[in-house]
Amino acid sequence: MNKVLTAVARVGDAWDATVAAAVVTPRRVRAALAVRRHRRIGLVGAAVVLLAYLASIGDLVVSPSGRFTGVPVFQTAWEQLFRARAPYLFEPVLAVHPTQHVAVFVSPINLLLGTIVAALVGCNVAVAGLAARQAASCRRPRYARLLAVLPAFLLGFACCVPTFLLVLGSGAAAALLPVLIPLRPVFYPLTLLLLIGTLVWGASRLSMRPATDDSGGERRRLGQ
Amino acid sequence: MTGQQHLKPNRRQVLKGAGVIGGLVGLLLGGGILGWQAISDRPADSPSVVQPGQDPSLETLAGAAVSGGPGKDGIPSIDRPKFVPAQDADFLKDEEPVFGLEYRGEVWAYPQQVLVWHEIVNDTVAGEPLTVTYCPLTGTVIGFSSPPGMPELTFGTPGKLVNSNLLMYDRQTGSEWPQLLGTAISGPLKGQRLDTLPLVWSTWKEWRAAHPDTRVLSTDTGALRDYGSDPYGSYAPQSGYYVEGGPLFPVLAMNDRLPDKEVVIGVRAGEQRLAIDKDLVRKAKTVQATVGGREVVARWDDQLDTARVFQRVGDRWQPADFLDSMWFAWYAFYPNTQVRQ
Repeated sequence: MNKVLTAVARVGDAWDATVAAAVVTPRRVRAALAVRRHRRIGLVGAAVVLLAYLASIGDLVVSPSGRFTGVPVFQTAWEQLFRARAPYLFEPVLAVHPTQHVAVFVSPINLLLGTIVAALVGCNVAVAGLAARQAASCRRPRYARLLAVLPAFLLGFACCVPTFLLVLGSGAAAALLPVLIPLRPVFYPLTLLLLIGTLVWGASRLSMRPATDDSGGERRRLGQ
Repeated sequence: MTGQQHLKPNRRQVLKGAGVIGGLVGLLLGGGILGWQAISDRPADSPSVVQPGQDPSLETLAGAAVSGGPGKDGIPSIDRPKFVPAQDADFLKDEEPVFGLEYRGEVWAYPQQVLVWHEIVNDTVAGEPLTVTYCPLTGTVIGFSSPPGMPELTFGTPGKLVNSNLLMYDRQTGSEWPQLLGTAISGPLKGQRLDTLPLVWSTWKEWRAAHPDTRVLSTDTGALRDYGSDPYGSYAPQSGYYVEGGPLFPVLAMNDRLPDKEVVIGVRAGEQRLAIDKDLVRKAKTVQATVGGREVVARWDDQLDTARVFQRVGDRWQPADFLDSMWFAWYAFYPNTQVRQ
């Protein structure tokens, strides 16, 4: 009985540690972003994810053959602002064809949802970059950097799985679509949860000792 | 934590731990139940629900409805269609498919590149309400009107499919209608059948040459879409879903007598059904058959590169109830169909 209670108490300890890690996460993320090199990598990661997100939901279209010839540069449908097409996917209110090769369909809500995912991925990348730098200075293997960054990218795409499957149009899509489509409403919130989870976990791995910024030579104290 | 605390766990931490475990179990159970419900809402894939010698019942079809991805009206119908004269339809390439309609002296073209994004056009043709519908997953185009005695209906997409075919709902009663069947499978109008008007598949070049006075459905639909692209594949040249693999969503019955995506001319006469391989009509030019005790003839139209079907009524030939369909879809709704190949 005592062993069970001890195990339950450890869960309580783990909860305290998680809460503590979550509390210090914003400060640590800010500290990681304060280092120019990691801020830059984070921004690039976020931009890539945002572009991939918009392309996967069809809001950003590139036509190498230039098939947008003759299409009006601007088209609007403001009344569609809050009209949903699918879970977490909204109607565009503005279509822009800046050249004959590019079409951008602007839905402010899609943009907001994509930006949230992209920002979380960017923070994950920045924090993972800093954690990997610290790990390298402690002579830990360098692949830790890759391991920390990859899940962030993969998770960013998770919410777009049905779209990617449809593009594939393969037998696998036929087998998976009927299962995945009913579960689609949970993809986006699940992605957010996982990205927040990896961010808290990544931030908790950051050392509290001063970090060195090679690019600026600036020293900052992380966390508390 | 000290060694003494290990021996006697802190009561506060135990309570906290119990709360966390309880919360996690609750979340997992709740999520598991919701997930199980979502997955178990799918119909059984087994074709055994279709009895030998019988087409699927309305109840079986209603139970076979699955989510197609977009939500209700997520694929928006066109409710105020705008048309342009042929010379202004510069968004169409010559080889693009259009669905042609000739009715009471008027001629209309519905481009596939527009309908693939909307699937339903609640239109008025020759002063009469007519709903033009297209399901890209089954390659079926059908015009519907309400028969005498039924209220005028307009349709939307509930975001579901039956036999991988567009399921429509009417906005007046909420009844649900598989497009290929044209009969309500649920709701107040269950069992009622809509009148159909055949449209023909042609290409823009051929349709325009045959009907220079045609009006063409415009891309000014009220929604913003990437018209000119097709999320499923291409018809000119043929590629993607339209030629490769099988159906994307579950169907009640399958048959390998013809390839899944082979186009057949489906004919309905009385309670009998006939599928004629479209390639057979293209080669033979004329295919004659008897369906439900009625003489029917499928004739190839070289000018429009399409097939039309007529049935003998007395001593006259009248347009039959026919449509182009991918073989798998026709068979899934009508497993007892006759076949000419």
